[in-house]
Amino acid sequence: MQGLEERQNYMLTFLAPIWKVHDLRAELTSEKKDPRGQRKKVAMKKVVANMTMGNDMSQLYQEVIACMSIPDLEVKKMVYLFLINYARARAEIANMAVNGFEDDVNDPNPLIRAMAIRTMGYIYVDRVIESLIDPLRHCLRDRDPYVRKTAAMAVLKLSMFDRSLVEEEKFLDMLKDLLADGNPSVVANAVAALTEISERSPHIKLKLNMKIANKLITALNECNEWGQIYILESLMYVVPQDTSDAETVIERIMPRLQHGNSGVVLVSVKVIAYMMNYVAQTETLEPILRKLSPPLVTLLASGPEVQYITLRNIQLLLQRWPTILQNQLRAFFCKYDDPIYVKLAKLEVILSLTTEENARVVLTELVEYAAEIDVDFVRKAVRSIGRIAIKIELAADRCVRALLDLIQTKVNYVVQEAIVVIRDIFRKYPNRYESIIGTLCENLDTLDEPEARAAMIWIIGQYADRIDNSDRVLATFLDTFLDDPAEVQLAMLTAVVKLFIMRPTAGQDMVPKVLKWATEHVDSPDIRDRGFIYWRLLSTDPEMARAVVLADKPEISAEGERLDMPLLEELLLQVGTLSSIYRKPPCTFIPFAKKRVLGASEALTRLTIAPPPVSRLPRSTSVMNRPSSAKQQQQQQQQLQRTTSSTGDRDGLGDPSGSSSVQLSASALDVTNGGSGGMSNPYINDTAAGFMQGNDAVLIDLMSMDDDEYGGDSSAAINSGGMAGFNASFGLTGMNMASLDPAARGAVGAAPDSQVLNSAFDAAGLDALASVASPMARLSGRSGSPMPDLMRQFTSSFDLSSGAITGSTSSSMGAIPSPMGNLSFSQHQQPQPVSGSTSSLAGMAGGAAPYGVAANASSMPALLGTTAAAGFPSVLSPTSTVFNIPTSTGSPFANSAAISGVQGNQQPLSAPAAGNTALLFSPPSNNNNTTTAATTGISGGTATAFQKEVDDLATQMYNSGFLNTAGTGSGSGTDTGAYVAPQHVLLDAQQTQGLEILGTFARRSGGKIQMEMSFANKSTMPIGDFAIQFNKNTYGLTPSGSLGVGTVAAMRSVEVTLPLTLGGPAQVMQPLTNLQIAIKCTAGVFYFQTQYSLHILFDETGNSDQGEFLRMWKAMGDAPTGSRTVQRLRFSSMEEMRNKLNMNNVFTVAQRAVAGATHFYTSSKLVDGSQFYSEIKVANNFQAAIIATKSTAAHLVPLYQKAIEDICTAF
Amino acid sequence: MASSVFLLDLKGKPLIARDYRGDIPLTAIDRFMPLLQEREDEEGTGLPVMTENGVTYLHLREKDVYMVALTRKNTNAMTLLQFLHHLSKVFTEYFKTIEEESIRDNFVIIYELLDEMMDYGVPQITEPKILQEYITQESHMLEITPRPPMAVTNAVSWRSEGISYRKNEVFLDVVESINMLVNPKGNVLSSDIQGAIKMKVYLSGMPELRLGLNDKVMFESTGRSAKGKAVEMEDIRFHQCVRLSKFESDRTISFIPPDGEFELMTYRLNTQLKPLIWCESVVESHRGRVEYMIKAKAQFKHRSTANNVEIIVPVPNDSDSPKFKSTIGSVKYAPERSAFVWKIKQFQGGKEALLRAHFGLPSIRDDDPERRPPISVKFDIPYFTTSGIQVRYLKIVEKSGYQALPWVRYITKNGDYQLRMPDPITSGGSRLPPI
Repeated sequence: MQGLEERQNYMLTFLAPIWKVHDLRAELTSEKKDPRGQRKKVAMKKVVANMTMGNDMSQLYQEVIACMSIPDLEVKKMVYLFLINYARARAEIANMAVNGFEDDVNDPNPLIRAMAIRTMGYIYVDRVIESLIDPLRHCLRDRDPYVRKTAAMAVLKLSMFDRSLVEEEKFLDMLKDLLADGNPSVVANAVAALTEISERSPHIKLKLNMKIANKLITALNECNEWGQIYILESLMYVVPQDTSDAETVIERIMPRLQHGNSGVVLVSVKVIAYMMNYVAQTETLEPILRKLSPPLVTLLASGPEVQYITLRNIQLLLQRWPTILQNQLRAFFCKYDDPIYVKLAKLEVILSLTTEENARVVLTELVEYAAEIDVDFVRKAVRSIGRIAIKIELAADRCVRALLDLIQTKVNYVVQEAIVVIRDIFRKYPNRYESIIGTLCENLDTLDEPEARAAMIWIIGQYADRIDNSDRVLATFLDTFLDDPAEVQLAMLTAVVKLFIMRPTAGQDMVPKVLKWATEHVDSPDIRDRGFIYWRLLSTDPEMARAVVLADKPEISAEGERLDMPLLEELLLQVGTLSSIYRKPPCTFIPFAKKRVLGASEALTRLTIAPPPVSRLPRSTSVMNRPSSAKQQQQQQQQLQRTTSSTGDRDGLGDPSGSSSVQLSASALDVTNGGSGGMSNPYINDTAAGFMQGNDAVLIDLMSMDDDEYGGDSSAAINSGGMAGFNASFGLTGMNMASLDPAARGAVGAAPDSQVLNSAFDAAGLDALASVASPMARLSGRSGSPMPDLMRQFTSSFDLSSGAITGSTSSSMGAIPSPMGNLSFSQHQQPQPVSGSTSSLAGMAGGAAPYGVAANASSMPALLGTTAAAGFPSVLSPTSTVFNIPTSTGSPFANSAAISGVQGNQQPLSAPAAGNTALLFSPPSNNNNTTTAATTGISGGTATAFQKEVDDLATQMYNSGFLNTAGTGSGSGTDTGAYVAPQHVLLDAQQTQGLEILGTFARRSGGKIQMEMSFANKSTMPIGDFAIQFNKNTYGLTPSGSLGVGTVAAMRSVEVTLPLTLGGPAQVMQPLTNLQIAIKCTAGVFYFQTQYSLHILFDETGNSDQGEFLRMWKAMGDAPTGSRTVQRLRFSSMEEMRNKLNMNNVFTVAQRAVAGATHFYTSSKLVDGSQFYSEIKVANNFQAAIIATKSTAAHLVPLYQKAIEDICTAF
Repeated sequence: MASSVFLLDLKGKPLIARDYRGDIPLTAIDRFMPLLQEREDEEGTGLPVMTENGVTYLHLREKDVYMVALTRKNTNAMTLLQFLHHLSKVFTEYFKTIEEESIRDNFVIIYELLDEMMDYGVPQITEPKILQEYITQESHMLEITPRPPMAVTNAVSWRSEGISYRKNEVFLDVVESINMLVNPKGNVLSSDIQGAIKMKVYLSGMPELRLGLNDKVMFESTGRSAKGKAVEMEDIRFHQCVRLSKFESDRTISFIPPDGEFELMTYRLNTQLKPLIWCESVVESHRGRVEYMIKAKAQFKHRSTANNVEIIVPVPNDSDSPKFKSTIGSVKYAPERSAFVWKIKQFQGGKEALLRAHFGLPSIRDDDPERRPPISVKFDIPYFTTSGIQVRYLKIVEKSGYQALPWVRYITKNGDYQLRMPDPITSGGSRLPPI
C-alpha cells in the first residue's frame, strides 16, 4: 500500500512545474528525520525525472553521491544512473564516487557487486577505470555466476576504452577461460564479449576450432535465447577443416530453427548457410535446404519489422540457393494491410520465385496489385510484370496483354511505367509485339516523366518504318526538345536519325534541325558528341550509318538486379545484419568495419544446387567444384576484396557516374575535335581502334547501370560494374599467357606483355592468373572436338583473325575484357541458365552471373546471342569487344591503354602493339565504320543518363566491327556462318519424370551432319544407360556413333553431339523432314518426333556456274515456281548475306543490283541430288525478300524455302 | 549491438533515454522523427531500419510509444528488433499497457529494467516472470534486498524454485488461426493454418512435462500407426523451455514450464483450405449510390457453430444513408472504418445468410482510383481444429509426486482472413433488385 500511495503522490508532483535545483538540494540534504531514506528516495526520483527530461542536474552531484550510503537498493540504482549520466563528462564527479564503488564491489550481495562493476564499466574516467581493474579480476572469478557474467561484459567495456589495457592485464585470457565456465550464461556473455572485441580490434582475430565449437554448441541447450544468439554468432568464426566438421555443426544447429525467437532462427540460418559452403556433396545439401524453407516462411507470420528483415535476407539466400523455398510462392503474396515496405520486399521475392509453371498465377496477382493505390507499389508491380515477360518467354504474351489492359486504365503513372517496361519487352523480343504500338501512341500526351518519354521515343524510333505517321509523332516531341532532360534528348536524337535512315523523306526535315540543336544548343557533352557522330556518319557513309544505327541490340535480361558473387558471399555472412538489409558490405557504411570472407580451408567447396531451369536452357553443368587449390582461392579472394574496396567509395556516394566516365568524356572531346579538323584515313583507323579499347570498359560499366535501372538497387550494380572491369583483367592476362593459340601468341608478342603485367602483380596475383587461364585453355582446347555451334563459331572466329585478336589482346594489356574475365571466375561457380542462349559457351559464361556482375547481364546475352543462329555475328562481335576492352578503373594498366587510344598512332610503352592491332582488327576499307562505332561508344561512355541508348550503340558498334572481320575472314572460316536452328524441347521433363532433352540439327564443316543435344536431369535421381534409335525416315538419317551420355546426376545436365549419316533405312515421312526417335535410359523409354531444317542436307558441291544456272532455269521453265516472302532479314550488307548463304551451301551464282533491291541467283543441291535454283530479290533495306525457286524436286520447295528463310532471318 | 535505447512519444519527444555506449550523442534521436516522416507512406508505416550519418535507427511502435534502438555498428537488426519486442512484452507485464502515461509513471523502474535487460547494449535477460522476482515496484530495504534469482543464470532461466500451489492444474488451449487470401472469383490464393498451443501452468516445484500430439512425423518415425488422423506440421517453433535437441531426435516435446501463462509452441500447416466462412459479393456502383449483395456461407460441419462472426465489408469513405436488409444477424455502418459490419452471433455449419446493403454517394466524386480493401471476416469456432490436431496426453512428473489435472480446449479462429472484392459493376443497369 505504501508503494501505491507513494506513486500517487509522485504523479501529482510530476505534473507540477519543474523542481528547482536548490529545492532538490534542500530535500537531499534535509536534516529531517528520515530513518529509511524514504524522503531522500522521493527527492532522488525527482532528480532522475528531471534528468530524463533533459534538465541538467549535475550540480547536485555531491548530494547525490552522499546518498550512495543509504541502504536502499532503489536509491542506489538511481545514484548509479545519475553517475552514468554525468560522470562520463565530468571527472570530478567520477573521482568522488570511486570510494562508494570500492565499497560496493565488495558487498556481500552479488546483485550489488555486479551493479557496481557494471556501472564502473560505463564511466570512462581514468580514475574509475584504474580502480576497476583489480575488482574486475576478482569478479571474473566470483563464485556467483551473475557477477561473472556481468564482469565478462565489463571486460568488453574496458576494451572499448583502452584496448591495450585489456591485453596487458590478461583480461582476454580470463575471458577465454570463461568459455569453459560451468554456467551457460557466463559462457554466452564471454563469447559475446570476445566476438565483439575481435571485431573491433585490428590485430585480434577470433578463430574457434571444432573442439571449442562443439563445447559451445553443447552450451546452447542451456542458454537463454540471447545467449544462444551470441554462441551461434561466434560459430561464424569456425572454419571447418573438412566437410564432416561442417556437417556436424549443421546437424547440431538444425534444432535451433524451431526456436521461438526469430533472432535465434535467423542466426541459425546464417550459420547453416555459411557451413554449407564447406559441404562436399550436393546430396547432403538438398535435405538441408529443404529444412531451411519452412522456418523462413514461418518468420513471415511475425510482425512487419521481422517480415521485412526476413524478406530482405530471403532474397539473398534465394540468389545463392535458388532451390530454397520452391513451391512456397503463395506465402509471399501481399496482404492488403501489409506495410508498403513489406509489400515491396515481397514483390522482389515473388519475382525471384516466378517460373514457367507459376507465371500465370503470379501475373494474376501482379495485375491485382497494379490496381491498388500506393504509387510506389503499383509502379513496382507494373515493372515486375515487364520483368516476368523478359525472364520467362512463355509468359511474355500474357504479360503484354496485361500491360495493355493496364494502359487502358489511363491512370497516369501506370501508363508511364507500363511504357517503360514495354520498351524493354520490345528490346527483348524484337518484331513480336509491334501491333500494340498503336495503343501506346494513344497515350503520348500523358507522358510527362523523362523515362517514359524516352521509352516512347525509343519505340517510335525503333519502329519508325512500321508506324505510318512516325514522323509526325516524333515531331510532337520536337517542340520541347531543348527543354527536355538529357535522357529524352538522347532518345530523341537517335530516334530521329533512325527515322531518317528508314524513311529518308519523312525524316529529312527533322534530322538537320535536331542535329543542329544537339550540337549547338545543348550543353551536355554526351548529346553533343552523339550529335556530331551521327552527323558525320550520315554525311560520309549513309550505308554505314544504317549499319551502325539499326544494328541489333544486345539482349537484355531480367537478372539485372542480381548481386555479383563475391558481394553475395560477403552479404550471406552478414545475414540478419544491417548490411544484409542494405545489400552493402559493412565497410561501405561503417568506418573501419572488418571484412568477412569465407575462411579458406581444404573443405571449402562453395557447392551450389542448380536452380530449377527457368527457361528452356538447362545446358549448364549443375554442380561444379572449384578446381583450384585452396591457396589459389584465397588469393583470388584477396583480389576480389581489393576490387570491392576500390569500388566501395563510389557506392557510398551513390553517384552513378564513376570517375571513369568523367575521364572518358575528356577523350571523347578529343575525338570530335580531331574529327572536325578533317581526319585522314590512317589516323582515323588508329584512333578508332584505340578508342574502342579505351571505352568499352566504361560501356560495360554503364550497361550495368542500365540494368540496374531495372533492378532498382543502384549501389550494388554500380559496384559490380567496377568489379567487372577488375575481374576481367585477370581473364585477359590469363588468355595472353596460356589460352590462345601459341603461334598467334608468339606472332604478336603477347608474352612480353604479359610479363610486364605479371611483374606488376604480386605472387598472389600470378596464381590467380594461372588459374584463370585454364578455362580459356579449355575453351580453345575444345575446338577440335565436336562442340556446340556457338562454341565452334567462337573458336573459329579466333582462327580467322587470330592474329588480329591476339594482337589487340596483348596490346591492351591492362585493358580488361569484362565478360571473359568473369568467365574465368565462373569456372568454380555454378553456371546459371541464361535465357535464350543455347550453347555450352552460354553455360560457361552464364556461370559468370553469380560471380559476375550486373554489367554482364546486359553484355553477356549479347555474347551469347539470341539464338544459335544468331551465331557468328553476335558471338564474335562482343567477343571482339571483349578483347579490346580496357577499363579506366581498377587497374593502372587500363589507363595506359586508354591513353593509347587517345593518342592513336603513338605507341605507349605499355602497349607497343596498339597501332598494329588496330590495323589488324579493322581492315582499312571499313575504317569509317569502326571509327564511328568507337567514337559513338565513347560518347556513350561519357554519359550517365544514356543507359538504354548506350546498349544500342554498343551493339551497333559490335556489329559493325563484326562485319569487317567477317568480310575479310569469310574465306578461311568455313564454319563460321553455318546456320543452326535454336535448340528446342524434344522431351519435356514433365512427361518423363524429370528428363528434359533439347536438341537441334546442324551441318558442320565437311558436310558432317550432327544432332546437338542437351540432356537435363531435373529429377532427384541420377539417370543413365542412355541409348538412342531413329525410326526409318525419308532420307535414312541414322546415328553413326553412340550417344555419348554417361550417367546424368540429379539436377545436372550434359551436352552431347550425335553424328548422323544418311545411309540408314528409308521410308517417306510426312512431313518429309520428320524424324521419330526413341531414347532409352534408366528412367524409361521415351518416344518423340521432331523435324529438322532441310539445310542440313544441302551438299557442299551444290555450286554451279552461271551458264548451268541459266540452262537449268530455262529447262525447268514450266516447272512450278514456289515463291515465298521473307520479312525482316537480319543482314546489313549484301555481302554479308551472300556469305551467309554460301556458308550454308546455298551458292550465289550471280548478283545484280536493281533500283532499291538486289537480286541473287543461287543454286544448291541436296544430298540426294535434287537441285534447287532460286532467285532471291532483296530490298536494300533488308525489310523483305522474295524467294522464287525451281527445283528438280518440287515437293521439297516449301521446305527448302523455309530453310533459307531461317538462315536469313535468324541472326 | 545497441548504443542506446529510447522510448519516444508520438511526436518523437524522448520519454526515456538510456545510453549504453556513449558513442552516439543523445541528440541524434532528434533526427528520428524527421527521418521517419521522410520515408513514411500514407499509412504511417516507416521503415523499421533507417540509417543516417552512420547512425542506424531501429524501431517498433507500440500504441502511442516508439521504441527505438540506435547503433553505429553493422548490428544484427533481427536481434535488436526482437529485443525491442521483448522489451514491450516485459513492460506490458509490468504496467499492463504501454502508453505514454504508464511510461512516465514508472520511469525509475523502467531504468532499472533497462539496466538489467541490456548490458552495454547486449541483451541479457528478458523473462518477465524472473525479472519480477528481483525488480519490483515495491521498495526494498537493503537488509532484505533481493539477490539475483538463480534462474537468471541457470539453465532453466524461466522458472524459479519453490513455487507452490494448493491445487496443481494445467490448462492447454489449442488455438488455430486461419490465414486466408481469396480472390474475387472465389479462388483461394493462399491459405495456411497458424496453430498455437497456449498454456496456463499452476504447478508446484520443478515439474517435468511431456506433451503428446498426433504428430504424423513422430508416428512414422516410431513405426506406430496412428489411430485416427495424424497431423503433419510444416514448421514448429517452441518456447525456449522446450528441449529442442530432444525434439529433433525423437519428436518428444518435453519441458519444464514457466509459471503461469505462456505460449508453448506455434506450428504452421500450409494446406489448401476451403474458406470456412465464404462470402460471395456483388457490388453495383451507380451515380449517387452503391449497392451490395453479400452471401455468406458456413462451410464446415453441421455439428459445429461459429460464434461472434463479424463480416466487415469496406465501402467508399464518402458513402452515406445506409440501408440494410439481412436474413440473420445485425448490420451496422461504421463510417470511422469506412465499412459496414455484419454481426452474426451464431452461425451454424452448412448454413447460408444473405445481406443487401445500399448506400448513397455524393453525386460529384473525384476520379482517383478507389482503394479496394478486401472483406475481412472474424469468427471463432470452439471445440474444433481445422488441422485435426489432438493432444494425446500431457504427462506431468514432479519429484514430490503430486497429481495434476490437465485441461484441454480447442478453438479455431480467423487469422488474417481476407476476401478480395470484385470490381463494381458500373454499367448495364441494375441487376440487384432494390431493397
